[in-house]
Amino acid sequence: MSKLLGWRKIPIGTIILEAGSTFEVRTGDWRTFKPVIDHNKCTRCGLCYYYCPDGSITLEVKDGKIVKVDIDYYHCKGCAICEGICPVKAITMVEEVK
Amino acid sequence: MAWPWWTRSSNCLTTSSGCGIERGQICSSNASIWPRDALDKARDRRGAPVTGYTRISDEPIEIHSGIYNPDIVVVIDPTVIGVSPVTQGLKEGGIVIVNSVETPQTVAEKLGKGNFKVYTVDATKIALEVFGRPFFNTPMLGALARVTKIVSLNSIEEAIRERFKGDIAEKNITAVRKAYEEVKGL
Amino acid sequence: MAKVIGLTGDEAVAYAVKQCDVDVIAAYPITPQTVIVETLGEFVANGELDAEMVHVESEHSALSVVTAAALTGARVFTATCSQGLALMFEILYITSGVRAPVVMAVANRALSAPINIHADHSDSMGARDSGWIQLYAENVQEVYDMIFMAYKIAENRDVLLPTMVCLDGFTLTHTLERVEMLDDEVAKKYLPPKPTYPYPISAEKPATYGSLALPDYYFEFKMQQQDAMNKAKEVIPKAMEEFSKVSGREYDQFKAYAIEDADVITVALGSTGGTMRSVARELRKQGYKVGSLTLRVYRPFPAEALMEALSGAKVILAMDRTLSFGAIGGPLFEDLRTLFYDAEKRPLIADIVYGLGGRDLTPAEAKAIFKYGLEIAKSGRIPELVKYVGVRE
Repeated sequence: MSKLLGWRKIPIGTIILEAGSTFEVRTGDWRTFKPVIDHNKCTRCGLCYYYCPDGSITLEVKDGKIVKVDIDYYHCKGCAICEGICPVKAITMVEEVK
Repeated sequence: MAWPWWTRSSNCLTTSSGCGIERGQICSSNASIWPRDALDKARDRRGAPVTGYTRISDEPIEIHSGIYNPDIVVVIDPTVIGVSPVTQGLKEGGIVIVNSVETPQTVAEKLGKGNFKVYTVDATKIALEVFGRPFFNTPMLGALARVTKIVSLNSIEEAIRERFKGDIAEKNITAVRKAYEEVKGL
Repeated sequence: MAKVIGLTGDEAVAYAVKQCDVDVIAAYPITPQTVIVETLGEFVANGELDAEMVHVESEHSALSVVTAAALTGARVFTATCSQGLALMFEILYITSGVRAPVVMAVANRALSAPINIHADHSDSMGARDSGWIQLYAENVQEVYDMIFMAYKIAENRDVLLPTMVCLDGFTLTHTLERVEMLDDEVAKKYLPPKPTYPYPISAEKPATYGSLALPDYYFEFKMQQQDAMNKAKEVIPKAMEEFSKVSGREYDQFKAYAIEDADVITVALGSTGGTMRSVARELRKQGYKVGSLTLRVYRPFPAEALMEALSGAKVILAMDRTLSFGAIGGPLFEDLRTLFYDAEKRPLIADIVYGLGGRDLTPAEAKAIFKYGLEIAKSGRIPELVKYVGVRE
């Protein structure tokens, strides 16, 4: 538990000078279910990437084509939209085992 | 030192009006004349009766209130007579200058009893002749200059030339001069 | 040689803003501020002012646009009043919270209902807790001058608080008065350099602006704003002093007349201050010991300076051009009473509520107000704590 700073020590006006700071917050531990991609069924259409409300799906792109789709489990909150949208049912929600 | 003084006939808040001068622009390089020219009961639209006030002084003017006892009342639109209390509060021996086709005597009767002197000029006719549009302000300035000598014709012309350019300026000056000549009641 | 010109309050704002070389203007028209934006529009259209004019669909958007623009380090401007100020209410607090140095002209107009377009301070008074610095102008020259001072104060790195310059609707916005303008060079030297904000939004230095703060941090950010307001109490007199030097016109946080030995002093905001001073002069000639004070800075409330100026009086009459329904008195009255509560020398303080909805305060009424004050001074009692002047029963 970090010590909380006084008002003289924090930057003014709610500004956070370190860029991309949100990325470092682990929101991936809010899940109950986590999505698992069956890479054999996956057609690399990218729909899950576009629909993910959290940007927690990563694409590996070569020569302008998607070659692999992966889940960013550090941030994924398990909302299951990707499971619902996948046209070939390549994503399954699996209970999280902690 | 001269201080030109003229009325801006564009962007008036109203085309009908009551007492006072609607807008005045006073410019002086020696900066010793203090004007305060204000609008009362203003409306967001054209055509509403509006009262404008002007105070002129050699000292800075600090009062920001309306004028209730004017020395001079200028009526730019005669239709306000009978609708607005044009001579209310006018000082004894005050002056009323009205834009009207009628004679000062007729207008004085309309204005009712009181110790004031009435002058008229047909600014509507002048405006329509010179501008082709109903801009009565500048001709009324000419009449004001003739009757009260508060400001000289030269000053008005200088101010007009500074505020307007080319043809518009000349037309305004023509209108002012015509009204200056045609004031009745002197 | 300074240029002297006749300008209405609205035009004066526009000319000053032009000389301040603003970069972004976004405003929505509302009587009586419309001429400000129209004149600025003319300047931008004819190239006299190199600025981006954003035509927004409401005041809420207007303030949002300029707040964001200010965070890029641009010098910005907006203007509104009354219902418009009320509409941008939520953004007012945001602009102050993110410490954007926005300057806004508020053409003080009464709040509906009933609909009224005339001078009244209820709009800016409603925003007095929002963390904006509030300056009130007494005449058109002050309106013009205060715009420069507003930028100087708002952009000061110890302050970084948005500032509103308040001018009475119609009484100042549409009243033509003699204005001595600053030379462009003088203005340029007086104003701080851009960027106006210390951490400008840029692609090269990405950062997060306007973040969330939970109960563990929100309070601390508010303390920063309060600290900035306290620092402004030092910055404002300095900015005014420097302006006095470059313009030749004396400026301080208030304009006092004959207060040194006055029994009764009226404290007013805005154009009425001039009327009160004019009447005070007359009464002094007749031997009455009265004085008037026109307060130019309302937030931060110049407590120490006012304490010093007013404590010698027997009676202070706070003049409120607004009603705080349900409160003991108007805002200025309450601030003054709080100021003097613990003081050794405590004048009797009464409230004069006047001028709502543009109701004119005549010199005769001003005289009656001073006489009321003298009556209190004589008897040591306040017959009516809040006196409503100019209203019909």
